[in-house]
Amino acid sequence: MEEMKNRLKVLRAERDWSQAELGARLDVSRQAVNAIETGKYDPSLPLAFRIARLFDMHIEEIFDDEFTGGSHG
Amino acid sequence: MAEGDWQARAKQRTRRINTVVGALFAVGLVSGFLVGFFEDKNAGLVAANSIPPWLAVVSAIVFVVSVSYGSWKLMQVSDELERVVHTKTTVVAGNVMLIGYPTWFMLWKGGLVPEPDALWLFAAGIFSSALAYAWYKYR
Repeated sequence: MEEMKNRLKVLRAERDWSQAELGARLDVSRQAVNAIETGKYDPSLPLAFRIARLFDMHIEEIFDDEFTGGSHG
Repeated sequence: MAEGDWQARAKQRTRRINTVVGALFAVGLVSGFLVGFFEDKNAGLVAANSIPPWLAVVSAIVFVVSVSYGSWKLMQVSDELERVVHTKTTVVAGNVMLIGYPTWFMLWKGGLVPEPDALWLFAAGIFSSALAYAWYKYR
């Protein structure tokens, strides 16, 4: 299964937010933030957009799918 | 976001979930108490005809309505990770029962084991869903 890496933990630390605070800002649980940060759970597209908007960045600046298995066309 | 704001929102989220789970728990508690109160004390634990028919009908209706509505409500107040965990958990439990019954049935046809028992299959589904939930949620 492809693994998605992300910069969520770094971005959160830069703002000195706890996982619980980031979860509240995104309207998800602290466990969800932890699961995303540790790569155990890939967020849905709507949540990924919410994360990107919160940090004022593009999704691909936060998430990296590291896909190397074929052509993207 | 001020310190108090996000903490209040986090508490509100937890309160919403606890309210639904608590309500379901209360309904289960009352139903269990009523069944225990009216149950024929001389009948076995899984014996038929051991509670009044009206209580059986009321219990069945309360169970279907509360579990259906409660599950829907819980999905509304849960975040997407919780919904995904619940979905995966349900798939695991369903597979245990769907694979478990035919396997048991074939072994029974071969005379190796007793006849398949619905209660044990249901218990296996519940047990496997609890294990799956713990795995997907806390691994």
